[in-house]
Amino acid sequence: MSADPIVETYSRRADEYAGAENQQSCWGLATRELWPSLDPRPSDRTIVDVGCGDGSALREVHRRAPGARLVGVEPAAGLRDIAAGRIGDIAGAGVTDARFEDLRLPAGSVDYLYSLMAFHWVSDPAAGAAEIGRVLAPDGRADLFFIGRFSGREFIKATTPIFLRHFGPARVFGAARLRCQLTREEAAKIFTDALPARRVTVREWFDTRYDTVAGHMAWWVRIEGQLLEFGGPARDDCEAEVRAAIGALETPAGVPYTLHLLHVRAEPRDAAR
Amino acid sequence: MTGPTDNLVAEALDWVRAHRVDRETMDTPVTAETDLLTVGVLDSLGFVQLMTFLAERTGRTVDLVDLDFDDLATVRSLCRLYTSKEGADVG
Repeated sequence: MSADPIVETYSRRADEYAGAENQQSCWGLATRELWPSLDPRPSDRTIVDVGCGDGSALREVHRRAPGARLVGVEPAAGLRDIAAGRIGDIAGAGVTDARFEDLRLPAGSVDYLYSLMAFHWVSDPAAGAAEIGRVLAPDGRADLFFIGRFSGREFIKATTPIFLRHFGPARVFGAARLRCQLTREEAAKIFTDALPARRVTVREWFDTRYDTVAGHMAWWVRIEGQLLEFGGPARDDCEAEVRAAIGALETPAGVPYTLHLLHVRAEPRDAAR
Repeated sequence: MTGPTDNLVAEALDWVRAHRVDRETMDTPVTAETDLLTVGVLDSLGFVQLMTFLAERTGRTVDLVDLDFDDLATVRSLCRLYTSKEGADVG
């Protein structure tokens, strides 16, 4: 798999991603709270987690479908290593170096595919959706939960002018292009077009989380800063301004960050509702 | 009599109003002089998409490397980039 800046960042920071600090961040908590919405079944033979990260969701899925062969897909080598260690004791389970656009799985081989907070990093959403359609079994199901177009408005509004002043439009707008930011309507069209034989439903919701400045900075600014690929004193100055701007958002409940979440569900047309 | 910049500004304003991302201030009117960044009407992706729209309407391109922070301030300042005799390349 060829390297890209997102994959490289996640691989380099894999230990922080899997660590307690990030797991307690709004991202970690929001992701974990999606686990009850997953739909693994004891009758499933092959279950795939695309963008499996540190593999923690795979262990939960194994608990609910202990007989299924589990496949974690993760392009970031550092996270792959952590995930492999986490599920190494599960018979038939493995983590592969693949991605949404190229899952490297046989056609029609997957009974249940899910993804948690990963599809917004896809490079080609139409290709990713088509690949999901290719690998799903005729009666296979998929659940994708990911970040939508309007996520993090509080932070974006407060910090975009700061990033632009320090790094200029070319760098900042270039970084924006690295992330797939879909509206609910765009997601519905992409997946309906890619999976015409299946019932596709897309829902969206907004979830405001509160944390301290340090809690938010522990993950958010690291990703944003890495996307800008800039270091040294200029970045330190920028980060100080960003920290102050985020601090200015503070309420009695903490600093808010509103997630815009999308859930794409694909299933056979005759599946019971 | 309206000039080429005024015509483009009118079209750009229609685009911005249809694609603005500031759910929290959606009722705030957007004019040619609205500070897009301070109000948060557009985010980075929104600016990229607006510039793509302006390039398609004018047949001209603007290199992001040549942009100043002030060029992004308002719809009018952005449109000037695409209608001025200097700066923009004919695509």
